Amino acid sequence: MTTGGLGGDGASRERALRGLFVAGLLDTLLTTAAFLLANSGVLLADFLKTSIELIAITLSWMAIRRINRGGGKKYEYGLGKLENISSLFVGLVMLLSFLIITANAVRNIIEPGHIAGIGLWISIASQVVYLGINGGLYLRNHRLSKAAPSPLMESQTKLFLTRFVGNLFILLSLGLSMALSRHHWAAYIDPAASMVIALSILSATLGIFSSSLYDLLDRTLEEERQIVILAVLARHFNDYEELHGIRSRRSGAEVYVEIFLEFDPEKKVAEVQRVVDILRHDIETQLQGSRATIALTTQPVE
Amino acid sequence: MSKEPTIDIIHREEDGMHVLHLAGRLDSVTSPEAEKKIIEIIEKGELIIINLKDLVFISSAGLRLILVFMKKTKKRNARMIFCSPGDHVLQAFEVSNFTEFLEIASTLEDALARARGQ
Repeated sequence: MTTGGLGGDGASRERALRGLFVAGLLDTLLTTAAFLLANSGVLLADFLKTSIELIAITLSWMAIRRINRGGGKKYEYGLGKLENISSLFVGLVMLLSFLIITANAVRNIIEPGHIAGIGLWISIASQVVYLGINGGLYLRNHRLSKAAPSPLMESQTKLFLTRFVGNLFILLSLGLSMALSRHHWAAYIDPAASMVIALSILSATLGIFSSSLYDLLDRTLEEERQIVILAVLARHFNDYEELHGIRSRRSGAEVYVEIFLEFDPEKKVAEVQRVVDILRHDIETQLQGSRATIALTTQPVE
Repeated sequence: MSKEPTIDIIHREEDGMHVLHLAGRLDSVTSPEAEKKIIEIIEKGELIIINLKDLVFISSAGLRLILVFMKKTKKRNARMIFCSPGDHVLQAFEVSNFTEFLEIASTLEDALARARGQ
């Protein structure tokens, strides 16, 4: 039974995501107001960035809530694929945002103008506050992601690091644009800074695509994890007759391993069962979040 | 353009022993070819020496193959000796616990001497 493990871990993940949702909603309201009350490309980028984060958090929160409210019983293999699909959707929205910010920056470079409006002051005040909040949330998410790795938590961690760096850049770019407004070249600070934010979004997008897409295609485990499986089989080298194949795949935070073994036909079922139990226990203990299946066969498995 | 990883296997018989020289990389790309060639030899040989001197890389797929070879060798009551592994290969054997069941000689001469019971 795995419900015990899901409860404790799932509850802490849900609490973390709820906190992130509230913080993200406030941030989105502030950035929307700032964007509408100023003519800054950086504030457009900030508005899009916070909106993406709110979408990502909402999707993650809904998925975790579903698992914790009993959805896990209907999906015995977990909701890993849903996590992957959610991450890909967030990645697509991020890609779209990158394109909008880039197009706006190009336009502002062709037709430069100094930024102005009360929205700038709203943004500066909120950036100072959110700089501290996002730094803290990034560290918290990073810890959770390390404890229970999954594409979903990974995408959250990346998003909050992007936010933190974004806050710093926005503060700096708005401050410089306003302080140096007597120089005509200062009009280029805003589009240049918005491109920096756009590139950080693109970088996070590529990371999300590469991990979520490959996991969705049932990519096998990484080398270091494959070695763990082989080390267990090596430790029990004399307990089975032949190794006919190993298959592995990831699904969200879950790792599935299938090992195909042949046993001496003279061996008693109880002895075979003992070896199967030991191998399964050793693999599941050493590979975090893994579920191992030992299948008996006399034929090679591709 | 990146070059496809390759493995060269040279086989010779010496005093009833099968000596295989592996050169290149043993990974998921080259493993199927190596598996086919080496299993053919395992199925007819009693004493097999695998010289790893020029094996520059081994991945988990290569290690898995060696585990398969060892099981087949044991099933046939044959003997397989590995020799001259480079640092990378030896380290891979160590972290995967393979040193617990592999017979490893430091040189080909040492492996031949062991095989002859000297």
